[in-house]
Amino acid sequence: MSEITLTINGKEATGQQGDTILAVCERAGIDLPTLCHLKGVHDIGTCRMCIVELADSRVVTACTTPAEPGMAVTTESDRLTAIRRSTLELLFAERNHYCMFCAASGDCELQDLAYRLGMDHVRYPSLFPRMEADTSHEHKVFDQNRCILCRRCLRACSELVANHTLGIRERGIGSILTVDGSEAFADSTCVSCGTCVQVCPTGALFDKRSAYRGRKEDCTLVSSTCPECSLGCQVELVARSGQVLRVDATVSPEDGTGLLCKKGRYESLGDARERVRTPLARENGALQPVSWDEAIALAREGLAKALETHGASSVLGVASARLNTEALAALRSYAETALAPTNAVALGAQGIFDRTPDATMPDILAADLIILAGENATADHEVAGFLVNRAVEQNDTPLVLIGTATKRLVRRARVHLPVEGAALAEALRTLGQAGNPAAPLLTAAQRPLFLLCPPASEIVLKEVAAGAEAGWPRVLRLGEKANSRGAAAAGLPANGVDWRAAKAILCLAGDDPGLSLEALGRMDGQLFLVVHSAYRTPLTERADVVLPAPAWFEKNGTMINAQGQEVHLRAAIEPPPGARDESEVLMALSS
Amino acid sequence: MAKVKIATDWLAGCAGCHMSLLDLDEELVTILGEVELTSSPITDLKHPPEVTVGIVEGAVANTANINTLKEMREKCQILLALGDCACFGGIPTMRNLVGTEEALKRAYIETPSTVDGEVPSDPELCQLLDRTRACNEVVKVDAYLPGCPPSAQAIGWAIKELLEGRLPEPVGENLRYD
Repeated sequence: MSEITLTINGKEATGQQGDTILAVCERAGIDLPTLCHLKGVHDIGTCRMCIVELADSRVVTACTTPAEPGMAVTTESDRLTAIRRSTLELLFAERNHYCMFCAASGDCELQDLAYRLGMDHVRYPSLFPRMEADTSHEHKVFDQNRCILCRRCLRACSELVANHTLGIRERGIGSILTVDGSEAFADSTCVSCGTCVQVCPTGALFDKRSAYRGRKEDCTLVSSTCPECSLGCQVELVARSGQVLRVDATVSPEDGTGLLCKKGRYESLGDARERVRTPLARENGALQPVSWDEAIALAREGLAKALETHGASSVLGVASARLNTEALAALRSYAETALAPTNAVALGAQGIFDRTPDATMPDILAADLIILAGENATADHEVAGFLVNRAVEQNDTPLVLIGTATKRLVRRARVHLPVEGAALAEALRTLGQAGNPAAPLLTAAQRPLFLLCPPASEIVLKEVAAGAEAGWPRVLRLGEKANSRGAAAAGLPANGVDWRAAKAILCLAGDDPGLSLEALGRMDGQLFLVVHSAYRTPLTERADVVLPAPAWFEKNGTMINAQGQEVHLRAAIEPPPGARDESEVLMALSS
Repeated sequence: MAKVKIATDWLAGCAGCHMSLLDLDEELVTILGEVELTSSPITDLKHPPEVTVGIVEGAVANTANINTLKEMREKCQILLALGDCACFGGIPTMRNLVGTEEALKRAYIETPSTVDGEVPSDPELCQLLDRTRACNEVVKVDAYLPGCPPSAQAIGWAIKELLEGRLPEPVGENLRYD
């Protein structure tokens, strides 16, 4: 790419061949007003706010006009301000843009622009078209009245999430945003990732949970990591008055990357779950509230009794690999001193193998061949699925699917080997062999990426490891839980203990929604059960002692994501008064 | 120097802008050193004399609002639209999203607590317009101070601008829509 030089507002500015005028302005620190522009998706110049004047007095949109060498651009003039102001007033007059009863007021880019341009009245009569608000979706509202047709949501849905739920119907002033042509959100192909809500510049798409509960400037924003899967997507927790109002994706200001899925954005706050708020102990068959001291004494007594009667191997320490590395390491050292060192496991922990260079999420888009393996692949790692779909759609990347996945990915696979269980390993190992339908693709590929979803992520790929020196092929091993790799690093395996022989189990469940059934499925017979959990689950209902735990948004710690990066969990709010974290509990149990 | 005469009135509004004016507190005393407040909901005088500045709060929602606004326009040299309703239409325009007839039916007949309701039709009453409007759709407006309500500070600033012979053009902290 060659550098080009142009003049902006009389000063020299440089850009790359292929840059738009807007990109050059951004780099030169010139703040052009924009509305429809969104980092990461293509520009369409609908809002006309970024207009600039060229030397021949033509007025063009900076976001869609290529910068050319020698160009002379003016970004501010009375003429431009007058045009921008008129356009803005027309936007306000077209639908209902009264701020005082809008959920977005204070966090609205349309409002910010009107302030910036000093819009103290509108010269055009408002049209008040009769438009519907779609409130059918569980988590978001779509109000046509507030829509300015900037199409950010549409482009984000199509280009970032590759889901294509949103579209535009009709033409001109009659244009309206549509959901699958004419569906309600709840009945549509929407995957509820909430990206459209996050990118909406106005109050047309807003979150039900956080609406009217505080503008961003009145909230505390805390950077943390989504604990719902091993991708470890970075999030911004929006908190106010001791409550987390919303989970936003952390969006890179450079390239606009940053997505979440339904689980991360909406379900991770555990709204539908009942919290454990006080320690509980079983008395006459039912769980009754007790003090922390009583609960710890009962737990210690029960565990000690099993140790005494049945020996060290009869007591298990079990944790969820969703817990942070510090908590898992604390369990490991507790087991070393109080139990048998080999008697601690983390469900969902990843096995360690000779690693090839870790692939990162952007590698999915950079690869020239994606080998996706697993059962119901990417279902638990939806954001990875979005990227695979994008790679196929936007880069025409060939996809080899081994195992099962969504219908859409199955349809898109060039080669599909629908195997399960042990056959997954065999299919992966024989991939490059002559006669395998995927072999020609593998041979032709320069940058193949192996995206291994559970259970394929536990399969050792010697062939892949051998080719690792060149940097490619790369492997992205998705774990069963958020901190699958951190658990392995903390010295906790997923298996290797004798559940049947257990007479007592100390289970650190944290806020893991899946651990309860996984642990219950392994337990057998009479045993003494202590459960440290943020929520009531079938497991806490079986426990003898239940200890309240903080949820992920209430504690600090680190995890290691599937890309091998250390990521941070940070508390956005205080835990409930009764909750104590894993380290405190283990310390109390050992003292 | 003679005091500058100001008249204020409200149309379809909530009185919030006038409350915000009163929120100027002790600064009002200073302002009243230079200003004579003539007719106003505060002085309870209904018809403005000839004034330099007329200030109206509220949108134009009915025939009485039109009369009040036109009377103010005739009597003042400078008309200031105060608040979002006067500047843009604001809250009273929510009616426009369903239509006047529908809104009346809902309010007087369909509410769950209403028994044998009817839409008031006494000839003494003013008529609702087909749709609520901003002031500048009915008369010429010279200056605008949006806000719901505008802050006391912004109102104080606007009055001072007028006293110094300038039409207020609010920006920054003085320009708010909520």
